[in-house]
Amino acid sequence: MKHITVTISPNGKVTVHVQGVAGATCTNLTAALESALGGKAETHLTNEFFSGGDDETAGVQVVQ
Amino acid sequence: MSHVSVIKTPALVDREILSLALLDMEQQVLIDHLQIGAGVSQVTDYHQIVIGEFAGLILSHQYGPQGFALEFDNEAGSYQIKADLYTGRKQVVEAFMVALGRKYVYHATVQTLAAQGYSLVSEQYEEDGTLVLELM
Repeated sequence: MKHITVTISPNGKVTVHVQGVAGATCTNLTAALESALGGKAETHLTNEFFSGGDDETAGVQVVQ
Repeated sequence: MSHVSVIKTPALVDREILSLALLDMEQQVLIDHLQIGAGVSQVTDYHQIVIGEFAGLILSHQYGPQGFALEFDNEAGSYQIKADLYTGRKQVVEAFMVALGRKYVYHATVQTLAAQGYSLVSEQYEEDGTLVLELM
């Protein structure tokens, strides 16, 4: 099931965790958030990125 | 599968979202539809923000106990705050911008994800003030 958790910290740092979304779609989400927040995302792939499977998780951290 | 993306220095890029964020700051916002380069923003009573387009500016007025003006100048596609930061105001303005940034990020994120087909199902504040949103 697709599920997104957005955390906005008191200092404005934002973390977005995406679960159950395919890689390309997740990349599109990142691009959309980049556009909405006017910033360029630095993407860091973790070991889990290469493991495949249906339980996909991605995170986007937005630092203000 | 996992990856982490970091967006550095998010900007206030959307006028409507900025307006929503200002509304969330428990201020009253009036949006003037003045033609660019013609007109002045209205200045009304205490704790009221007036936004008007004037030569590319979004003007917000009368914020905080001292009721001083804050301006958002649209430069290179994003809104930058311009305020008189003499003694005693810097901390107030910085706190305002942190709070406004949180509101902006909230609206920008929810709207962006809504456009991707996600709906907000819950939101809650943690003890430290962190806001957690759940979308499905």
